[in-house]
Amino acid sequence: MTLTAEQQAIVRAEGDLYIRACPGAGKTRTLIELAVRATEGAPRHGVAFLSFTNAAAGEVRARLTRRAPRLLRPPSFVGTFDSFLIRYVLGPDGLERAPGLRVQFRESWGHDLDFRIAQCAVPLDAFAPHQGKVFLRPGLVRSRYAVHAKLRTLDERIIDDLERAAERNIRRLMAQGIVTSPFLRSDALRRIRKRSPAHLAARFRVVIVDEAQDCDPGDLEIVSALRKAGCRCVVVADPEQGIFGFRGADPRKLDELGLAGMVLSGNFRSSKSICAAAASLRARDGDPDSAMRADSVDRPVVVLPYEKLDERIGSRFMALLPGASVDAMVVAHAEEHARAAIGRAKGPKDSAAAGAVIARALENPSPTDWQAARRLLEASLRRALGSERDNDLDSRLERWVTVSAAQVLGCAAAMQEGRPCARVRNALDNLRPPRGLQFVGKRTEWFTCRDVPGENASQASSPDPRDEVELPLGFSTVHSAKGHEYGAVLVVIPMSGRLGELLEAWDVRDVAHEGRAVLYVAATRARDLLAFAVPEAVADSVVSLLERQGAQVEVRAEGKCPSNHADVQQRE
Amino acid sequence: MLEYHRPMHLRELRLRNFRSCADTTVRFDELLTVLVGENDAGKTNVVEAIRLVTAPSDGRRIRYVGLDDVRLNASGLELSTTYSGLDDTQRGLFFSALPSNRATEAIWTYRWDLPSDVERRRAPRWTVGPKGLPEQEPEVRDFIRHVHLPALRDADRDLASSSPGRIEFLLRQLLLNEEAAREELLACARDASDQLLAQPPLVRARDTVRTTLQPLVAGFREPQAHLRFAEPTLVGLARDLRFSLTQQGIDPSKLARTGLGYANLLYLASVLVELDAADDAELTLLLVEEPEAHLHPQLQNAVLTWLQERAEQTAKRTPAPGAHAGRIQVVVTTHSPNLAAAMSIKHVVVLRPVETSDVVTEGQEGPDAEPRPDGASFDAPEPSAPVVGAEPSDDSAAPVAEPSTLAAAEPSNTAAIAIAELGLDEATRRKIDRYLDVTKASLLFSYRVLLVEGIAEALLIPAFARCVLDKRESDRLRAATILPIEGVDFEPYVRLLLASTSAAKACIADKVVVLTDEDPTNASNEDEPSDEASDGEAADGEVGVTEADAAPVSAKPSTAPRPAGQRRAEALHRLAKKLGADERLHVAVTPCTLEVSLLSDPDPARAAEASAVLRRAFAACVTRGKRRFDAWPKRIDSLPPADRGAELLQWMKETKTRKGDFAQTLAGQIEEDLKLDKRFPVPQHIADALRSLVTS
Repeated sequence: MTLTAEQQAIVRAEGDLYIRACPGAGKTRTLIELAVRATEGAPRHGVAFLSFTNAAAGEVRARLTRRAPRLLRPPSFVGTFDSFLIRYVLGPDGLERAPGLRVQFRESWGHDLDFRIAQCAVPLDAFAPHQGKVFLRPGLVRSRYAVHAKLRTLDERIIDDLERAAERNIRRLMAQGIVTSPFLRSDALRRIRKRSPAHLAARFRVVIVDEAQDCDPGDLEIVSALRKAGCRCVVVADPEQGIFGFRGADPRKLDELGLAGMVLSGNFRSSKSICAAAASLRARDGDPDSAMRADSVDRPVVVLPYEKLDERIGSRFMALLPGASVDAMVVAHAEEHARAAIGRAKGPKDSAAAGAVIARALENPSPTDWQAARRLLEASLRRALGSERDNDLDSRLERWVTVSAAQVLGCAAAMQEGRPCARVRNALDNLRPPRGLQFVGKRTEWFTCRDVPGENASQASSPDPRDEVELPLGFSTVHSAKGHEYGAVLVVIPMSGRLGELLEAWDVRDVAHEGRAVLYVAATRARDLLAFAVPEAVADSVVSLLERQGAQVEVRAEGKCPSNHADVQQRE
Repeated sequence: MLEYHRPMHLRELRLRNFRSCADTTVRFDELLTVLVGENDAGKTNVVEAIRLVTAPSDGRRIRYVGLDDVRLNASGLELSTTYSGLDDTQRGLFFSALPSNRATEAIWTYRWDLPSDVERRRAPRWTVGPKGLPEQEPEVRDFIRHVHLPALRDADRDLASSSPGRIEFLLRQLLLNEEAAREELLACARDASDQLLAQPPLVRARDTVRTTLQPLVAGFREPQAHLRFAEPTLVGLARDLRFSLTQQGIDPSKLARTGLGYANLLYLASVLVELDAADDAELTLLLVEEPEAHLHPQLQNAVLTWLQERAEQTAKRTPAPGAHAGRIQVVVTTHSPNLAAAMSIKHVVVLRPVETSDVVTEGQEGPDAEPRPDGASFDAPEPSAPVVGAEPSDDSAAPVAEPSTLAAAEPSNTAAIAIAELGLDEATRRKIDRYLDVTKASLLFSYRVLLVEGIAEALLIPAFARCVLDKRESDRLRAATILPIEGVDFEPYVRLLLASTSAAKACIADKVVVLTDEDPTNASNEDEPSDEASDGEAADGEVGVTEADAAPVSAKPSTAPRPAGQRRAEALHRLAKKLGADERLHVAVTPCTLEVSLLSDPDPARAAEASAVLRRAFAACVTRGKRRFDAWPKRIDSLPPADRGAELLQWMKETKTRKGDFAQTLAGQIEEDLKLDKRFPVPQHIADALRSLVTS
């Protein structure tokens, strides 16, 4: 496959660049060609490919393995922005507060500030550095709703105290060489400003920053500083895909870098209708991407109206698939909605495997099995208390969880009859929630372990209501699906109080509405088939929105197309 | 970009518990380093260490670490390398190995511990920087490589078919990006094979086999027997190729028939082709072991000079933009004084065994200037940044072998004395260079050195020694070096031999004995001879008796200011004291001159004895010496002993008898007498000097 004129222009361009690339534009391919050209005949110099996730870096590595394996080795570098900063900017000197110590990068501080005045545990990750000080930025821990609610009630004086306490804690950790992303970046930025890193410019012919729409202002300042130091910077972004605003990323800031702009507009991924449907979701009103695939049969975008979000939607989606070989993915803004659409409401990914862990712990206990089972139970109990993640509970509840998990497991072990998970369920039914609290939902919703069928089947107790059909479909949040592509994608739009707001933003192309951008990212993952599961009430609005830039849209109402069981079986 | 005076080079190698080295630091010249020392001094160890810590240029590693490499009683070895003079790109490439972000040097440390009883093998560990942090980009070490040229033992065999590697490497290099040329060559080989196969004997051979096969396979789907050459490949071709040299009509077919020296040179050339690959690396260390093994001296110099020029070229040139620096740094080992003399001594590193106990004590009392967390004990757990919550490594529980116990087990360590670091000034260094260039003297190859003024003394000393020393002392004398410096400026040599470097904490010589003439001066010649004056003496010292030698005799030592020889001796002792090696220096001052002192023994009996020997020797200097022999009693013996020497010198001058010739015949006479068990009465101060030279 040869490069398009657009792609070639980018490969041949000199100097700093800001490339706006639409989804499926052959971006990675173009960048690799650019890198190959930049290092041709210069074995002493390399290219730095910087991504914001290990997954994205892995994707670049996989492509390089085929096209230009030499760029996988020094002097080139492929990795995350953070590892680049640690290795080549902080370097042997390390962190300012821990000179000469090995830098240990952490995704999270893993510590909470157990602060009495705030009456809740505030994660250290909620604090960010700014001009040498530490400030509370609740957006950084968006998923922890309880903390958010609490923080909103605090007055300024307490927040100030919190910030000082956080600063002390963070400084102590950083003095040991431990650092998280925001603090690493502020440290690195100071370093680059203090002394121009000549060695970087000398080693790397180009520094490529991929997915730059996810850059926060600090990252962009680092890019500016690298340019000032003489590094050629190529920044690639799809500003429409900016879905990390909650972390401070702002794609609009990219324009302020003052880089020569170039565009990659040909879409090699999606069919014409998918391009048109996706264009309806963009903030910028413009023509849809030109679909570049010669082979593509243009299937209409499908809208699946639903009354209740359950696995029937997944079945209807599967019925649309042309064959078993299609890679199909169900995506939603929140994982739970994607799960619901394929009948995996909640719980661990493989409840039978979890059941096996419990069985081992009860039948033939070894310390490790016991520990594993305890962790499983603790997770269940946390869910029972409405906590989505570990460490989200305050220390009193956390203690209740630990103690209760051990007790339940002990009770179950003492029981003589029944299969292991049934015994645990039995014990759980006798467990009372901590004082003043109620369990969230039914027990079957938070304890999902199933006994392994077979072997001791004679002892089997009544069938677990959880033993129902789970569709063999992949599911993912939109944020994790970013950067990937699939043959067929079902985008789940859940029923919610903010649905109207979302449709409004879609309609008026509201730049600031991240939910809209999330839908755009989701829609652009699809190659051949794109489907939307939408609440019945808004199906018509969605259809007209999707159609407004010329996409073919087809509504498949429930029951119109019975689920194709043969197909399901085949996929299994 | 900054311009650096010195391009990237291996600056320092520290070997700990590696073979014979308990703790040895070797400093290298950025272009060429000549490692000199006697056998087993540790030269090879240094080369072996470099081979372990750098990548082989041709990608075929032959040298792996093994049990033998760990010093006796130690549990592991450690090799630490420091490369200096990094430019900005190299700083970028090797950034993680820099001691600090702004440094222009990179440090790697290679460790290998003996496998424990339950392990089959153990992998070496690499760390970077002075603190021994974990390595992040091991691949960058591949930009530092070596080409190894082992001691030339059997070049004929190495060039022959048993090792097609060299020729194959050469072919591969030349055809690197030339697919078409390679295919053409192989096609040509294929054609030649086909032609050969069509030759009647081969056709007959094939048919014979076919005929034999026929009855065996009758009834089956008959297979056909073919005779063919293997599909030609570069390796295959290389295996069948032989290098040869022609030299005016010698049959080129057999390399062995040409002079071995040239065969070695050819081998050398085939290895040095590998240096072309240096362009693919930042730095390539060319390790040449004992090039003297089979090369005659002129060739040795030619080879060494060529190598140095090669290194200089790569240091001076500016590589194409984007290309690797392609630097070549040469390290040569030798025990040939000839080769050592061919290069300036600033390139020379003397390797010698020293008592380990000294080194260890010094190491403990004065640890290195830079704080090394692992400085105290090699076996300490891998030095790493204090990480909170990190478990101490398992190694710490293992019994720790203290350096002192190592010292007790092995008597010696290796010291590496880089002459460039002895603090010699430029004039001194040049003086020694010039001296070595002409004399090829083994100044650097012996731990006991006797420095004398001229060739006459040097010729007589062995004869004197046999009259004075017992059997054991004489044996020791054999290991000593007697050097005529053709002058009286001993200082440069004493400085060279007794100065020590901070890195090695040792000096080249264990004992330096200086034998100099008193040279009593008259008032007009009062000033200490300047460098010029002594150079002048050196220039004509061998020619014969000069005015300067003859004139002072008339002057009375008592009335003149203190004689020059005394002052020289004092100055040398002061110098030795300053160098902290006073006990290693012995200066013997011959009253007046050597001839005078031989004839003026205070004991009349000994004086007569000496006179008799000198009389015969003087007579033997000429073919018809009877007249001299007869005249001796009247002209010499009749004088008081104190005046006899001066008279003899005068006589020698009249008869144009050269000092060197006289010394030759005198030494011959003394040895003749020894056979009759008659010992020459050696003057006391010379006897003392000789004993001092051989006692430890």
